[in-house]
Amino acid sequence: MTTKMQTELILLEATQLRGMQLSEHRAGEIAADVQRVCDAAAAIAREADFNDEPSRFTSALARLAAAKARA
Amino acid sequence: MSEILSLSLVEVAAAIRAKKISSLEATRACFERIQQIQPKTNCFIAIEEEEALKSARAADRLRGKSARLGPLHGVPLAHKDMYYRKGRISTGGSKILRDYRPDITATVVERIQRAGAVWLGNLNMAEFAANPTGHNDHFGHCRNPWNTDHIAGGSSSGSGVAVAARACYGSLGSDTGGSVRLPAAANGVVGLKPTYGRISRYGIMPRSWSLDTVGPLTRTVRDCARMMKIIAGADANDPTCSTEKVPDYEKALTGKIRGLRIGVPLNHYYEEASDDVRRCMTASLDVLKSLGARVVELEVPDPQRLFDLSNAVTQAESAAIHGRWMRERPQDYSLMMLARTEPGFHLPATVYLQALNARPRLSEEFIASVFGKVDVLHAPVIPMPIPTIEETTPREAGDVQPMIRRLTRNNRPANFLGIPALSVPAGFSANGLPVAFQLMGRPFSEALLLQVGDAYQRVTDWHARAPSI
Repeated sequence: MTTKMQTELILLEATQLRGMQLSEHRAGEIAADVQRVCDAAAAIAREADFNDEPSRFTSALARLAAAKARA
Repeated sequence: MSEILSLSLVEVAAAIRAKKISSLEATRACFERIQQIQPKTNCFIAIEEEEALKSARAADRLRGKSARLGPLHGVPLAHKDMYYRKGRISTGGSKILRDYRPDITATVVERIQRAGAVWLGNLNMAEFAANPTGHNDHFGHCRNPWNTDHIAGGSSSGSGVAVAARACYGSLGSDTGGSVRLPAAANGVVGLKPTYGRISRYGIMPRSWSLDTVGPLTRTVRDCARMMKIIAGADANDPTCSTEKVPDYEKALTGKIRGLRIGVPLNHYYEEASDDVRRCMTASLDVLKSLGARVVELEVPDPQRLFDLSNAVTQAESAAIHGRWMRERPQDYSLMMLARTEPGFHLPATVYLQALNARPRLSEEFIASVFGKVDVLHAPVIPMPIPTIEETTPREAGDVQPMIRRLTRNNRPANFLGIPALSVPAGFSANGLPVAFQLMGRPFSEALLLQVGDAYQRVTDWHARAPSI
């Protein structure tokens, strides 16, 4: 996606989904920030297992604590 | 400054219990100090003198009745203004909640009160716990007692300042991306961000549900251990709160760390470190080595990636929490809060869920890779000298994210991983402001972090120094 397209998308979302006005300059800044986060998520998603799920986080913490106790 | 104020939380609790001093004397000393520092630092949002003195008198009366006294009996504390007490105003540092009276009381508040503490008042904080500097456009900026031109650190700004300036003996803060550790480091006090789920979040103002943690700020590591034992543990009102057994944290403070492996990261954490900060880190590692610890340098799994993914979670959740108000009354938010939250409205739901979905696996990878080789990880909390308020005041929305990134780069990874991190004072930079290291460990390893921090404080005195404000 080009920067211009991202900026336009942010502007459209702001006006049509949120009913708010943004300057083109600010939309460009937000677009860059959103892109950075989306890139990080896309990269990590490539490594994901089909059976992963967010709710395993707290049990993972307990398991990792227990692993140390056993060591 | 009254001699009573030079006592630590544990010392003042012991003195009150032994009737060497009264809770009333300690509480009055705190209010005298508050009168001195409040005009200069603005660390309180609300001062509750009359009620606190009444509580202190009641605590003193109880001592005479050989009642069973709690571990904080008669000890004056003050807390970040986001801990709910039923029917009492809790502003969250915001204009929007200026008159908000929640209809519940936070679990940690009940526990602290059951332990006998006296409530001095509500402390200043970043608006909705959302900035790392302590700027507050609604209640006035909180200022660093070591030099009031400088930031107090945030978002638990008032907590860091009040504890450092000896206006209270301890404080509850909260840490979503560094908000306990940053003000602890900036003010030269101890701050603990616990494992996610170690302490109940029930009845505290939300910033980002998946990352929020409650944590104490205190003068000494031992004080922190005392508070942790009181507030940690399962809570049926918070489904994310762990049932993991709560250890006796004070018992873990043996002073012994011989043979402990301390990791020093070769990547990320020192990339923007100033010479002053590097000097303090090296000196603190030398102290730990002199106590028998072994220092191991190692590469850690990319913290920048963890930082970006934590942003996905915070921005999406914060946008969901504030969406309606930001649409209906954006003028009631500061530029900093608006600019920080805005990107969250434009993140696809899939990105948010991908970030959350990756958390268990990335935590396992990080913990296996790092804590398979070392017992704790040591790194600077803030890599640069504490900046001034002027230097960190955004002129426009685009200034906000880069400034926050610089200040929080070493903090957010631990929040995403859910692991505990303890901030410990470790010296001063050339501008006279404190420097601190943080110790990170496996999930639920708070006792070990406190053990190491306490061993360090037994042979150093950075934590004993108070600002001459």
